[in-house]
Amino acid sequence: MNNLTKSVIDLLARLRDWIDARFPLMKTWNEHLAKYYAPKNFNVWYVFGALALLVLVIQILTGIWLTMNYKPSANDAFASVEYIMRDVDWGWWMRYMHSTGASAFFVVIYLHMFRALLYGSYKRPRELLWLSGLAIYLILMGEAFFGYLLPWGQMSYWGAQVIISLFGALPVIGDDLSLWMRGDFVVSDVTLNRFFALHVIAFPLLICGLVGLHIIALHEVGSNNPDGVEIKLHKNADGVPLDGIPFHPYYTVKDIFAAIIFLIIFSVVVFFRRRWAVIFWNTPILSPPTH
Amino acid sequence: MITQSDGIDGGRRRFLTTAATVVGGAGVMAATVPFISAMLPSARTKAIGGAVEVDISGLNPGERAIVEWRGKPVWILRRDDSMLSELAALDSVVSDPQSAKQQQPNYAANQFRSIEPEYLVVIGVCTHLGCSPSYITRNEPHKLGDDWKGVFLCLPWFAV
Repeated sequence: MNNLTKSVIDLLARLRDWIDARFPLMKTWNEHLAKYYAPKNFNVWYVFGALALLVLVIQILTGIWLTMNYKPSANDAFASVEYIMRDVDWGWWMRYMHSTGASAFFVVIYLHMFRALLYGSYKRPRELLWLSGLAIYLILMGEAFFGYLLPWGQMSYWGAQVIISLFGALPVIGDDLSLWMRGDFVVSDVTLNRFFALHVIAFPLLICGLVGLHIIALHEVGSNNPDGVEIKLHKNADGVPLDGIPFHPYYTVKDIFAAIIFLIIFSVVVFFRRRWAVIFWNTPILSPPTH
Repeated sequence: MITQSDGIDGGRRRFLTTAATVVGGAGVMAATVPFISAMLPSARTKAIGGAVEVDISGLNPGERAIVEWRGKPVWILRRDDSMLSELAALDSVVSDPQSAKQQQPNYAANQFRSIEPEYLVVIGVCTHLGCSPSYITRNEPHKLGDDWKGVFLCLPWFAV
């Protein structure tokens, strides 16, 4: 290490100490990463939480960029999506990342949930972890539902129509409820506008908040593991679990590896096999509604 | 620091970590390219803001046409004979008669500030603070004095 490198590292260390005296930087880093002990026997089923976080970041980033050119009105929405696909530099990439990401989100979440069922990770003391996860799942379904109307294609329109009618089938409150959801007597520009607001701001905020709670709940009790051994029960003299390893660097590296594998498969779908994601949803978008 | 005596090859570990970080960093840099490019003008924006073709066949000497380009007014002035011959005489009262200051394309860096002396094409916005100057020929009624040869005046209207 030469002198320049040494002085740069020294400068960064002093910056870190300056922040640390004013903000719990190292405390957070240690409690949740470098000295957060996770079971050493995690298998592949344990990567899907981190992958879900990755997909959330992808959706937020590509979503923001789509919002830069998307127009949330019945007259302009479909054309604005075509504009994004054809005229905006890399617009097609933003759109396909976002739509494929939506499908990928559910694939990842189902595998994530399956792990919990497989290993009993919903059991005491992890009930709130499971319940907050279910809440995220429900909100995610809503988020996808609102997002699907936005291109204002035939599938978008009828998909919204069907699902809102589902709510309309509830006894007593059904009709009023669906009127309230639509904001109009039919799915219209009014519905599109509010679904845009819900999809872009309300539900993403809600999801981020719930994910934060979900991770806090996890870190409070610690992860379960494939052998069902509670690692907190057997600690050494320093309070470190005997069957645990620090999350950083072991699981940060392992999760990055999983992310790479995921991104390879994801990229194959985005660039070459959109059909694999599209067939599942039975799009392509047909002509816009004529009304 | 991890040393050789721990049974771990610290040098190899360091190399692998650095190499992976460099490649990963390159990947992250590459991933930012679409996001930054997407914010540049789109194909449609570039088409709308592209060059404008104007038919000046109907423009008579001494007349000025105004055309819009990128939201700005573009003036096309067809100088008449008197304008062309009197241009040099105004050199002493004009701030940059030879267009030496870098505020026009190289092809217009001359005493006419245009490709062809007869046709002046300018963005109709004053270089000072961005007003759009008035167009006052010598023949129309004005209060600018007997030696006003025309044509562009950038002054608040109430000072005229």
